[in-house]
Amino acid sequence: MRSLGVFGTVTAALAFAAAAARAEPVLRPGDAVNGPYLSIEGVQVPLPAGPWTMAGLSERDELTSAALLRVEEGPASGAVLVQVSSRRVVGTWGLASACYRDDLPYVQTRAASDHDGSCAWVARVRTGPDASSAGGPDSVDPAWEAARRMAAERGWGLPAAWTLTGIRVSQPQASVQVRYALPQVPGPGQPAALWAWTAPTWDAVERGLHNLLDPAAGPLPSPLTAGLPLVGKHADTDGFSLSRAIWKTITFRVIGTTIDFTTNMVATGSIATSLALSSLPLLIGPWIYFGHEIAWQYWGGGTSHRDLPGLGIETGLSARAS
Amino acid sequence: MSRLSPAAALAVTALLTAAPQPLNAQTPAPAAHSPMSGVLAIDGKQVPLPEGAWTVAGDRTDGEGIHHRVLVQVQDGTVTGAVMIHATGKGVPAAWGLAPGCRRVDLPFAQIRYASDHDGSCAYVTTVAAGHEGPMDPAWVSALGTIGERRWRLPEHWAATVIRVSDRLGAVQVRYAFPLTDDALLVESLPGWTVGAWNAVEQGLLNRLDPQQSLPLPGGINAPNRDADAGGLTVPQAVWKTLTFRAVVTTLDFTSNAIAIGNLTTAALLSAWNTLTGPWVYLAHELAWDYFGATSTPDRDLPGLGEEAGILTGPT
Repeated sequence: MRSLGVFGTVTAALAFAAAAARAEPVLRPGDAVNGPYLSIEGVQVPLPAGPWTMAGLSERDELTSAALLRVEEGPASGAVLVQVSSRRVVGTWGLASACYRDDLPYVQTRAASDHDGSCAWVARVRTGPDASSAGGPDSVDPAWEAARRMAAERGWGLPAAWTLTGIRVSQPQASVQVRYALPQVPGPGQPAALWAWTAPTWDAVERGLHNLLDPAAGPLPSPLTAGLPLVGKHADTDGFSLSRAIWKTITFRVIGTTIDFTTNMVATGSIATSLALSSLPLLIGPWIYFGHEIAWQYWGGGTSHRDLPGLGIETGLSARAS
Repeated sequence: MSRLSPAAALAVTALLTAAPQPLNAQTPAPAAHSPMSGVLAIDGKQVPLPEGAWTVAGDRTDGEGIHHRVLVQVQDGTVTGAVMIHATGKGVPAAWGLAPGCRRVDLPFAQIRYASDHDGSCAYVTTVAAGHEGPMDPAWVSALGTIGERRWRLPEHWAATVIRVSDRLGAVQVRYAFPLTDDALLVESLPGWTVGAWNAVEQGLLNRLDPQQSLPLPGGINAPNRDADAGGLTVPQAVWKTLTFRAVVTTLDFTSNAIAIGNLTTAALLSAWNTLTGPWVYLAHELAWDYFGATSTPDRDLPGLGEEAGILTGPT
């Protein structure tokens, strides 16, 4: 389990927040975002080809979020929602809650522990006032709400339904979550194409967390024109160390049954009686131990599994598009 | 849990928060043997340097793509500091595990912040009898040659802080070594200094450092002495898990006995033995898994300036 001293945390956070923040270009809502990536809170976030406009910005104590819209002619043709941990606070987010779902068309976890995580998913989302009210205020990021207001003020049409890929990379020093959204096209083809586009984008997001993106390089390819081969569905939602829990159950049961049987033998002097007395714990015990172990991993692992709202309620392919 | 005193935190914060300078993850490495200061860029990572001018004295890349670099600080013909850096090459995945020294229990400071099969962060403080005993890094051997050529005087005993941080994209290990004197302030302050340097090394792995800022030197910080914390054992969680598991099992055990026998007193007596012995078995099992099963990546040792000893002793 991670342990970080309070003063050590504050030292690092304060030391770099001031200097690094002033070194990044200051973007305000309405500004054009140029270049292949967005620099925000000491992290680089790769962007597809634009033009992109900063449409919403929100800074809370532990979190900064930014919503970008791609508008050329007509309605918005793309959206990016970025959420970055504040440099003032150090702490991991754990995996995104979407990465535990089994109703989404594509979900994958690259790494997960009690102090870091890297996962991605594809989902569909409905936006708009009715979607926000249905999901409640916690289902929509404030930066996205601000982006919707800007779009309304400037007469930019926003699709009511999107298909998005979400990528979260979280480490003790910094965390970033990015949602790349496209106007929804009915059918399974768009999510598949978007998932094929996710893998190299995921690599770029991880490099961006390390500030390793090349400013001279081009933007990410467009999700639907990259010509990337489709890949099979990845449905690895296992954020737990299931095999470890199983092995622990086996080893504990071996020890427990051995002690149990030996004790019964000493007390009764009969092998048959000892076997009979040990059989019930042998049958029921492993399930109790395993369930206890899984419960501790999920609720007591030390990682907050922080959920971050997005554009709205995210659903799988079974949700009807209007 | 590691703590830095308020004065130390303010000192480090003030020194690290400078006039704004543009962050540049691509800061080019200076030519060999030219003095440098602030932050060293190496293989897509940043390594913070203590105050003052540092000169590259040894530099090698091995067959695995690991970059070994040694910098020294010289004042009046005497080496007053050494920094040894190991860094994975760009794009070379790291499988270093933890530094073995982080698991030692004989050091004045040894701590593991986190560890898994794909990352880790740990640090320890040790002493080194430099130059003549124990395994030495090839870059340090090269540095000794440079030091000999230039007739610089070399301390025989060092106090060193070793910090290793790794993730899925790379790894870096930094040894900061300072002459071991009988200065009690240096001996007492080095563990506290280590916490601040550790934070900076972690940020450097993500290229989030201001290239112009240096770490303060040890001895300028009055920090409390630290007890060794070998880390790696989540004792408090293991104890809590023991309690919750025992509560569940004893409840089920007693209930099933009561139903079978129909007598509460007898049922309680039958459950008593398991309640007394079971928690110790569970706790021992839990601690064994925490210790031996914590990571599947073996701890890789990277040699340094010489054999690292646990007891901080003054020069003989």
